[in-house]
Amino acid sequence: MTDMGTYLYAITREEGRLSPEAGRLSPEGMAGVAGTPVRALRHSGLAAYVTTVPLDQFGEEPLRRSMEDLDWLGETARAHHHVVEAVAETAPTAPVRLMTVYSGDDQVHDLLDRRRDDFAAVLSRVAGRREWGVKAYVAQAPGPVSRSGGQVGQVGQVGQAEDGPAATRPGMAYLKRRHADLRSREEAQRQAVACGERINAVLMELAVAGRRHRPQDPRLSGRDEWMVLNGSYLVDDDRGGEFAALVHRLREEGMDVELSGPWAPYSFADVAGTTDSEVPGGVR
Amino acid sequence: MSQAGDERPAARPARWRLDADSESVERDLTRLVLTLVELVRQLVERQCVRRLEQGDLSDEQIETLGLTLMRLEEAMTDLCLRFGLSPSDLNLDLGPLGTLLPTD
Amino acid sequence: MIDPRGGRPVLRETYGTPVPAGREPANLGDILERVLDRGVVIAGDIRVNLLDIELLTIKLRLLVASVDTAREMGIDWWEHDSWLTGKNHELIDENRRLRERLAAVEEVLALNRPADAKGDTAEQRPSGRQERARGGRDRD
Repeated sequence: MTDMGTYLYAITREEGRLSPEAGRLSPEGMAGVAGTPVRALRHSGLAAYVTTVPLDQFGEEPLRRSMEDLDWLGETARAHHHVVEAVAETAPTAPVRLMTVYSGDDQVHDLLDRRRDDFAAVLSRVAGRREWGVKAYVAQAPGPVSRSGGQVGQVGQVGQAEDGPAATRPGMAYLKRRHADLRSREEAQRQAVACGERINAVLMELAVAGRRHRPQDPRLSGRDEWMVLNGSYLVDDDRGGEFAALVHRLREEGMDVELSGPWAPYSFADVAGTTDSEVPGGVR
Repeated sequence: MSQAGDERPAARPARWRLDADSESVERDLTRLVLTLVELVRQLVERQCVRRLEQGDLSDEQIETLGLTLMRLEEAMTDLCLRFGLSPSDLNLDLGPLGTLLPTD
Repeated sequence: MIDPRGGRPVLRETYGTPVPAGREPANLGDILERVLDRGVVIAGDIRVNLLDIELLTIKLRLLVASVDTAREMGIDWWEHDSWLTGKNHELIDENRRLRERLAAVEEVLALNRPADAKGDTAEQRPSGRQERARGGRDRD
């Protein structure tokens, strides 16, 4: 009745197949998106972790609508992430983006055939490594008075900030204050960018590779401070502790740094070595 | 107005939902207009600050510009208050382009 | 010291806001950022592919309540403009060139028919404006 599709989560090497005693750790059988059971398609020396999904939910048109449903999206993203993580615990893994749906297993086989070398390259890049996320924040510049501050428009108050002429020349006082605001904001921005650069440089000494992503919107990060660094770092497994300790040290030095992970190498799994996907970091 | 959305349901079912509530349309339109005004105001203000930096304005000119900009800002504050809008309401997020106005 | 290899990673936490011991980092934002934005991109092979354009839509959904209004008013060009995603620079340039030419052509057309352009204003036919906004988008 309903058309079914094949939903792809992640790709690993086939030799990543687990020994029987580790079998209970296998992602196979665990619940994927919409509760569908995860299967492994083994082909061309690779294993693709998939589930079969109904296209009346995961077809292009239904998705267009349901992706706007934040609850549904959150739930599905967690399910996807869950499977990716489970796979990544067992073998070097190339995570696939959310909502990658094929018309059937054949199409996935075909993909594994055609992209085998690309996947092999990705997998060898991430093997024995995991991704750590580091975000750094800088408090918003304290000085600038914005309209949102509600301190504008009160001429008397403006005058007090200046020395003297404000009472007689409120217009000039206003412009000068604006001038100072803009200046200090620019300066704060420069410092923030420099701070992000510094932290990134320190982290890159330990990491095998790093990607800087667009700073998150405050509504997503849940923090009002400036995100001056939103980086992902590919770190050798045996240096993960060192990396975490390094971030911890930065924190102790007074930097506002957040560490997350380790993650499956989401940020380092682009096919065909397209390393140019790097997003310029820093503060806009 | 909702008719406009219904005319071609087959072509774009999900995308063209219009809010038929005229009050909210009015408010949204106000917001859009104020957003544009605020953008222009900020641009002009920055330009003035730049000129101030260059130092080629007379004190009188600075005073006039400053007063005007100050009043404009007051007017904007008033208008926002009247329509129950906060400054962040006037700041469209343009996705990868960032926000329309600088965020403080 | 800390050894993240031992079975479950020890340090699965966000400093400052410790996550209860579990394999799930609590921050949905972080998860979404990763599963939506990154990972292998295999466009072209995918039947139902939510490419960057769609991802952008989602991001906007997530982050920008304020833009909903604009969208409802028919202003949603950024959802469809592939150059906004910044992936394909040739396409971007080409698109921009085309757009500029189109704009120039439209300008000329508008100049030639000033009366026509004015006849269809919002006061008279509110829905007409919508139609025009839509038409403008379709030409893109």
